[in-house]
Amino acid sequence: MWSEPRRAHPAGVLVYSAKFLGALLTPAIVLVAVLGTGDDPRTIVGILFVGALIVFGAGVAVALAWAEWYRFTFHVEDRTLRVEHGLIVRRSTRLTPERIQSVDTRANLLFRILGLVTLDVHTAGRGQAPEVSIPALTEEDARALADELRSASRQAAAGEAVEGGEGAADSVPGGEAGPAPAGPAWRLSTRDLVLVSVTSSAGLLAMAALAPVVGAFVPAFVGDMPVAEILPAGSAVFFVFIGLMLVFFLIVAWVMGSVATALMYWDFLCVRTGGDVRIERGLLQRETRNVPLGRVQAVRLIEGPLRQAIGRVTVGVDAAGIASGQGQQMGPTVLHPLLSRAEAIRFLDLMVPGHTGPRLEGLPRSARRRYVIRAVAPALLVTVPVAVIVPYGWFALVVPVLAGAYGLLAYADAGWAVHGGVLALRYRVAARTTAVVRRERIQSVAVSQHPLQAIAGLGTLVVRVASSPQPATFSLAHVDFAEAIGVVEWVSGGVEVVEPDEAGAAMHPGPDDV
Amino acid sequence: MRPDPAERIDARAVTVWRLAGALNLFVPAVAAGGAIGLAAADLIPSWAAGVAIGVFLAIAVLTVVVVPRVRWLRWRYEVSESEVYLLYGLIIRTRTLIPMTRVQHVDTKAGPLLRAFGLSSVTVATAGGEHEIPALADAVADRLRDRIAVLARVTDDVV
Repeated sequence: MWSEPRRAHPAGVLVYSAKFLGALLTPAIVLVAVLGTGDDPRTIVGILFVGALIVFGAGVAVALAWAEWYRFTFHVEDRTLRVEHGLIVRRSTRLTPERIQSVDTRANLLFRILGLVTLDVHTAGRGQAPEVSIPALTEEDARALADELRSASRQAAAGEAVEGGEGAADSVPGGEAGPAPAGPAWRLSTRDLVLVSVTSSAGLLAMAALAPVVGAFVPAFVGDMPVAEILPAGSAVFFVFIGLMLVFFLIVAWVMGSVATALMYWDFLCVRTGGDVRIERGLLQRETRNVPLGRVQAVRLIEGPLRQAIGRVTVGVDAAGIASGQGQQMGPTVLHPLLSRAEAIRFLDLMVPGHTGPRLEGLPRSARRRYVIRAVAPALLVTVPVAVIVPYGWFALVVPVLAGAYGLLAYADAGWAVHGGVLALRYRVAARTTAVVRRERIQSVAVSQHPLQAIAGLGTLVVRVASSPQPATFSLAHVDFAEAIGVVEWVSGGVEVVEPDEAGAAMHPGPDDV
Repeated sequence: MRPDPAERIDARAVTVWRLAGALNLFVPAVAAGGAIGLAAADLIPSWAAGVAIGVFLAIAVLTVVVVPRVRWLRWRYEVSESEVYLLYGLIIRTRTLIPMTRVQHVDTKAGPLLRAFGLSSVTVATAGGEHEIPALADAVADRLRDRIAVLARVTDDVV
């Protein structure tokens, strides 16, 4: 079916056109701005000239797009994906199955209406950019091609595993070759989609993006509007007004973040198919992504403050050599955005087996003071000058108190355990995260200790794993030093460390087990 | 309790780090010189220039005399068949263990300063990041690199 060189669906011209037109957009705006601000900008000749230039530019862009689409041909021969492409520099790409890390698809709204997708083939060492991107294929074609590439890739991996003696897919069950029937699947109900959206931290990011706007607006509002006359600057009412403005912007940011998240997780599906976990999601931009289980390096259970408040967990994985997806350039690949803690354990057992394990142990008492100090000290450093200098600044002293509470919380949340082949670390950086790593996935382990920790017999445990686009580091401060060295021994020699009576006990990410 | 790694890095590292520290004094030296100039022009009080000189001297003693020596004293490494074990850090003491099976590649490298002393550093790369053993004699570094490369190849099953 794929043995003859063929072109992408003609709609691929649209994809390339968008690319070229996008490249022309900035020059076009500059051109209009420059010509438009001349002495006599509104002469018919001037407008015609600019218009003609823009039409000409767009025409060239579409012609180039057509040429690029025409030049792009692909076929599969000898299980190798062969692509001829390039307008000026002609390229010939050969992608052997060994090099293929994952095959994903994506489709914008127009493509979804037309039943088309863009197919991306990822390899290691290319970061986020796909090695090969076929701009447009019908959904059936994409599915067939993706299946063919994936099964070739799996077979190649299985072959390697046999040669190498020890498995490339390691001991993760379900890493067997060949396509498998669809296994367990999770979807998001409408109610859960709403919950995911309103509890998203995307609002915080939107707020960060809005911050300069707020900074520019608030003084302008307050300075220019009659408010300034009604409310004398420096009065209590004035500060309340500013506070209300900030709350308003916060709500705007939160709504924006919620909408963006809802669009991203629209019609979410997570399904296990043989050795892969497939994720489909998105309204405006629909993505289908495959995470081969053999490439999973670590599992993370993430509880953002809002999601933790409603008892829900986000499940993500760190995987080597796969793209982590749109709108999520950093951090783990989200397998499921919203599960209860109990569901999360069941989900992990079915989707990413071998990543549940021991009950977590808390940190020594002597660590508590340190967690509090670490949170309070920087807060004091900032707020004390504010309290002294700014009128009503003593309000700011609430911040160190909150920081202290946060420190206590971070201490209570911190915990870890080693059991069998699994290390679990739990820590809080705003969100509470439980990272679960299998021993054979640990790239390096370190224990560091500063003099104050040495006095108390504590140390900081740091574990590094491979991830995309960058390696991931999990660290836990103020662990008992001797126990931390025990983890180093465990990584080194595979010595079992933790009590045998915990065998098979499910790991509880809840606070109650510490 | 696991014993500390046995090997020290080359003693000439101290000299190299002293030189590097001295070169890095350029900016503080300019700042201190500027303070003297300003005091001479009566733009700042002379005690301020005195403080600037004092700070400069303190930085100089620390970065040229004390730190290189202590840093060398506190650097240890050991390469066994199954792992690379490092112990380093002036104030924060870090013990890092890299299982040999996770080593992806190993390099030696040397900048002009290290080269002038016949030294190289060995960089061990894993899928989780790079680790460096600084300042070994060229021959030692080459041997170590080749040894790690061989050991890492035997048990090559990662990612």
